[in-house]
Amino acid sequence: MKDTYNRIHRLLHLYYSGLSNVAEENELKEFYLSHPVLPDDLEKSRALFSFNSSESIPGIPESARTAVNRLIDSLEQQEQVHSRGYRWVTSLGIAASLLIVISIGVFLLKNSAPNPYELTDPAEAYTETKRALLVVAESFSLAEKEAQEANMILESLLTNGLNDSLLMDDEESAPFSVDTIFSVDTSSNI
Amino acid sequence: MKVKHLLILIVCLLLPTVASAQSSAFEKASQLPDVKYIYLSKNMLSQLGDNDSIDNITFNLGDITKRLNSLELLTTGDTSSMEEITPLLKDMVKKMDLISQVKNNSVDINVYGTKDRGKEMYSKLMCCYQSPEAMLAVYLTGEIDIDDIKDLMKKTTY
Repeated sequence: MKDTYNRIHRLLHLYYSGLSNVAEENELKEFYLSHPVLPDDLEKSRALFSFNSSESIPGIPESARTAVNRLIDSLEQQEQVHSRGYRWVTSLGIAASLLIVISIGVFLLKNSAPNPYELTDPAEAYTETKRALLVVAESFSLAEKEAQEANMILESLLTNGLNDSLLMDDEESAPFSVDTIFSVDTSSNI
Repeated sequence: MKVKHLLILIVCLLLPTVASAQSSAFEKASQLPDVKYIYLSKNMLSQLGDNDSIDNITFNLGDITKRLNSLELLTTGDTSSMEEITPLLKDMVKKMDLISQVKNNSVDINVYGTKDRGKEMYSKLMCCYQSPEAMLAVYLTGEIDIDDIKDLMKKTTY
């Protein structure tokens, strides 16, 4: 009997490990049917093997069937959405690659095309740059000068009174002309 | 998220094709009668600094021009062209800050600039001079140090 129990223990171990075959499971079933009383360690597994094969398997409730179907449908929908998104990403990736190529092409084309207005003579370029920068410098200088003059007027207003300072301003101020540093020459249109 | 990143990438890629160092307002203005327009590229400007033989004794542009990407100059004495140029320039300076403004008799001198975020130097600078007889506009792009430009006046002897 001890050998039988040992074998049953081994078969149960195989069964719980998921390694048993049909013959071994049938053996376990027959064992439990033929032994109504067993030691506790074997008795606790009886429920697994004591059902009558002739008993009808309980049916799946309709609500569970619907829920499972719904779950399958939603999983299918999710899969479709993912595949659509993947297609979008792929398309955009291709579009981005094309844009890279187009951008590089346009950039190279733009840079290679000579600008009709660009000065190519270094001496002339130097002269024009100097003139342009002096115009900007003179503008700042004039703005500073005007600010200083305004400050002086304000100071004299505070010290001497309104009438004296206004008279002094009229006598001293002179109109500014950028023409002194930049003579407008439109005759040679580049 | 990936799509968003891709869209940003596409926009960034398109920018260089749209952006150009050359100002379209100046280019448009150059088509008007009696308008003189000059464009200097980064390449030419970077060479100017090394051009010591021309005028280096009194005037050295090197420090300024090497940091510039472009320089554009527009001049005209034609009143009808001036009328057409004014709105073009006004459009151009809309997004720029007014740095200085001088109104002396009938002469207007305005200087506008734009600084990139977190930068000390100006990335764009425009100086507009306008009198009833003439109009002049200078447009600079690159790294523009106003103090260096102001110093030019001190270094120059006339």
